[in-house]
Amino acid sequence: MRTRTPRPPILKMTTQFMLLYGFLALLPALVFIGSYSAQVSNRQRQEIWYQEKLFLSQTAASLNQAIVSMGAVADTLTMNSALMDMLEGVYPTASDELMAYIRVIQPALTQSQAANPGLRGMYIYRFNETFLSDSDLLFATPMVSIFPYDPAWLLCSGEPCGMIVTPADPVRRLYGETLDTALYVSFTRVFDRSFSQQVGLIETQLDMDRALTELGIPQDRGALELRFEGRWYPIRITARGAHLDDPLPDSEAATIEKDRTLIIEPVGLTRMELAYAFDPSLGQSAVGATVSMALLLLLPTLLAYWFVYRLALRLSRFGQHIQQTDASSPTAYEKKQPDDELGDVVSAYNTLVLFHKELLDQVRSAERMKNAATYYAMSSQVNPHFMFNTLENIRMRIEVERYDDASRMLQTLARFLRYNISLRQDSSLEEELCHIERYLVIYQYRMHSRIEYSVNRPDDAPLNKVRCPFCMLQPLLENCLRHGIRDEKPLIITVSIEPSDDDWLIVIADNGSGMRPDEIESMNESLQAAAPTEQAAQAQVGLSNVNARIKYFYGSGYGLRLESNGDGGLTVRVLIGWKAADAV
Amino acid sequence: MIGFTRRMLSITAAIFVALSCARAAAAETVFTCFINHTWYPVSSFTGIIPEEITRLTGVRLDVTIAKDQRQLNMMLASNALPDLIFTGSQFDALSDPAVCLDYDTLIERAGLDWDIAEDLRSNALIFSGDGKLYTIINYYTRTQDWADTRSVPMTASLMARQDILDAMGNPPLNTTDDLMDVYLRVRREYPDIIPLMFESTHRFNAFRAYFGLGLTEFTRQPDGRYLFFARDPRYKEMLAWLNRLYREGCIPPENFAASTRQESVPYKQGRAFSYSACTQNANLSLDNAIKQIDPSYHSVELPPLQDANYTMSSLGWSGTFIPLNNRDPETAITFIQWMFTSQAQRLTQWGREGVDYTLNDEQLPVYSAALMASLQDDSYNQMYNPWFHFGSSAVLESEGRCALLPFEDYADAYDQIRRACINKPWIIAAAPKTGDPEKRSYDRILAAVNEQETYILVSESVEAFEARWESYQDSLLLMDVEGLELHINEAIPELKSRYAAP
Repeated sequence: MRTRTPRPPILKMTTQFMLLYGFLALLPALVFIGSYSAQVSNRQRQEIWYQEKLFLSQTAASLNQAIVSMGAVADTLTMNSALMDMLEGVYPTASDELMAYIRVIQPALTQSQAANPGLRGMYIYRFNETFLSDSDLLFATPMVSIFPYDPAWLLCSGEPCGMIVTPADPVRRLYGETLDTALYVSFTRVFDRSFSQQVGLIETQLDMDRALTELGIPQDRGALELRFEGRWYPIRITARGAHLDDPLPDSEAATIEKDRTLIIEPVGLTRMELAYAFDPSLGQSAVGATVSMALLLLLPTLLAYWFVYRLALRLSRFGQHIQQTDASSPTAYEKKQPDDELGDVVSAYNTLVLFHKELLDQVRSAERMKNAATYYAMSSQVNPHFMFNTLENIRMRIEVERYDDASRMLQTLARFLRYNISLRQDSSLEEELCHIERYLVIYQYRMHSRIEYSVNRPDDAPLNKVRCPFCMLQPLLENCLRHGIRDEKPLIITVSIEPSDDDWLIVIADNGSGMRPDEIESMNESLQAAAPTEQAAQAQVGLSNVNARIKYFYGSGYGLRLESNGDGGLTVRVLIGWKAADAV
Repeated sequence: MIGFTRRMLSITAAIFVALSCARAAAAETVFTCFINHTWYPVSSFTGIIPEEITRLTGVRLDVTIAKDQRQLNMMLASNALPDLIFTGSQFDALSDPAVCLDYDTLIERAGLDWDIAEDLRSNALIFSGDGKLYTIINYYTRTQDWADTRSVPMTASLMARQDILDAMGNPPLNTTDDLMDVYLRVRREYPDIIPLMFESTHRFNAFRAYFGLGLTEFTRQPDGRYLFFARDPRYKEMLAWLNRLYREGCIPPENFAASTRQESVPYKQGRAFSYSACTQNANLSLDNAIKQIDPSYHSVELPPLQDANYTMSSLGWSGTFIPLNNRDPETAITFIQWMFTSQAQRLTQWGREGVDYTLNDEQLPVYSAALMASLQDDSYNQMYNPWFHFGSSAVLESEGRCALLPFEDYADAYDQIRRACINKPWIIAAAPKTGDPEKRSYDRILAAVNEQETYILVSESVEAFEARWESYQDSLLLMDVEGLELHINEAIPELKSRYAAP
């Protein structure tokens, strides 16, 4: 079974130190770092924003350049004399027109396309008077049956004239024609040489995938989108290049405008706009930086905490040792201490304790010698009235020739006195019980059996091994006899021994006149408070005498306690220990 | 424990596979590639077959299709060449150590084991000034290579609306006069229908065959000499015949200005009766297209007229050159070698075996339903893109395309065309090369042919036709066509004997 490591105590000094450190150092540092990080983060975001804006404006400019070059191709074609002749209907025959186309116009178209890889296709429409019809289409689109766009584009008046065509909705100019890339289709109006009427229209198709790929947009670039006439076209960047996807459904487009932070850049004179979804969380996070710094500060904080805690713990344990030390017998603090200032304090304390102990030993030795004299004096006290009455009682029995009784009394008295004048420091509990039995027998002789007594020993109790003060019980019996006998009622005295693990309780009860409760309480308080002083020990009051000697013998935790009997008598409870205290 | 070990092994294997894939993706080589064919039907290296090629070779192509025939010349002049050039012309200009890397050196550098067939090597070496091999021309076949096939070489063929012919009572079509009558009847009876249109690559070739001229640049005369074809009387006869159709309103002038993407549109829209194009699957897309308009419409390839002359002179179709500035020549030559393998030839022409086709008992492809459906909705080129057959064989391609056709509709026409097709490679092999004094006049004469014959064809009258013809003949003389013919007549005997040798 695992034993739980006891939790380390929460030390006030450590707590105070940590609170002090937290409020005076850590918290201001974190506030400063948080504020500084927020500033840095904002600055970084601004820089990223400007970088993205710059990138977007450069990209938009490049895309615009590609679109402008398409327009330039168309403008160049309008300066081709053969083309203008054809649009103006100058050639007399179809074969002349055809040969002009084959020899001059077609090479010019081909050259334009070869020189502009992004130019996906080019178509020229010839106007006949005011409108376009099948037969009026230029040879570039001889078999086109219809103008594949909204006829409004034929006379596009507002510049720029352009539209985006995606694979999802291709221009089906030819049978089964499909688109594999999005196109930006722009229209250039062609006027006759006198600028009196529009004679044609040039359609140029910019391959948007190719144009976007040539912009060199990095693959790791965030979401880039193209907005054209309110529709959003995502630009997908892959390892193989850029791709303009089909327009987003209106619901998704609304989400873009609502949920994203966009940097929008117009593409030249077109109605296109490039939009970059700027991530506001880009750059260093102030929270992240603060947390990082807080974690960095936490390490020295923990080290400081550990250091202070260790110091405080040593102080605390030292303090506990001092608190637990009995003032009357201080002990040295033996826990090994490092060689520091606290170690010096402990060392000085130990020196002081050693000195104090030596001094205390000397004082005790002197007191012990003094107590021993007092002790002998107290224990040898025998009431002279008892002696005179007993001897008178023996004389009277001799006069009436009751020699046997007188002989037994004399023998008992002799044994009693022999024990009483032995003047020992201590005795055994068994000897004390025998002594009081002799004392009570003598009293029975004297009082003509008006006294009954019983001494109850527990079975197999090693009473002869229990050390106790000499003549400890006799004063208590004497007290019973003095105050207990009243009227003609016999006095019954019961002495019983109750052993326990550490102590012995001797209970002496009588059925005498007893004491009032307030007297008992006052007496108990007096007995409890009584210090084992010389003055108390010399008191002629028997109870106080015995109580003082017991405390001397066993320690301050032992002594007498009075209780009232139910039948009016008094019980004296004597608590003694197993062995004598060091004080004796 | 076993379960844990198995899981760990699975995770390790998955990581290994992922790393392998990542490494493969990272190792992908992208070559810029110029395709010198203006008519190319696709403009990017995308689709199922190119993706499979990339998966198997690690090579991806960034393709540019020629805008016109002069673009490659401009690139050569400005030395702005891509990593690879796939071309059917300019072999001699590109077979130059100052322009391209030679194959044999690269094969040695790359440590390849590639035994190039001798006839392919000698065909390419004809254009090499220093005797080194700068390309391999694909699609070279001898006449006898077609003997045991049911398909035909890629050559001229005339499409027509069978439903209109049926409505006209299927008039006989044995001679050019029969054909003229039919066109004139269509003009009269179907005024909204254009009787005849031309595809820009094969243009008048079907009629050159019908008028006995053949499809070679130089035609053999009764005296055994060779003349430039534009000086052959049969050529004038053909142009006069076409001029009459033009003057009768059977040929629209816009046809000659149309781009390759536009020229087939009227026929696909059901607005034309006949379309001069080529064999193999050209008619398939046309027929599918008009059936979308009206299921009763039906386009067929007409059997050749009587005595049609399908003599051709071909050393193959196109070759791949590796310019000096190629970024990874060893990978390029390894890629080209792979393109000549049987696996690549089948993949590039037929698709993925087991997925897009399976082989029947005759080892001919039987295509998947998905592939056939893509033909029906005209998404075949976009979805599969079988146009990067840099090392393919003409017979394999032709057989594959025949497998796409409802062959019973084509069997008679193809049988007749196949029997009429004769390849005489020595004629084209005799053409002047870079360094020959006749080379300049040869190039000028060829460059002027299309423009001049169009100009003559769209003459408004017989007199104008005659005047323009004479003018053209004079211009040919001014361009020293006689010197060119002299060169040809001197070179052919030696070359003919070389090809005739076993």
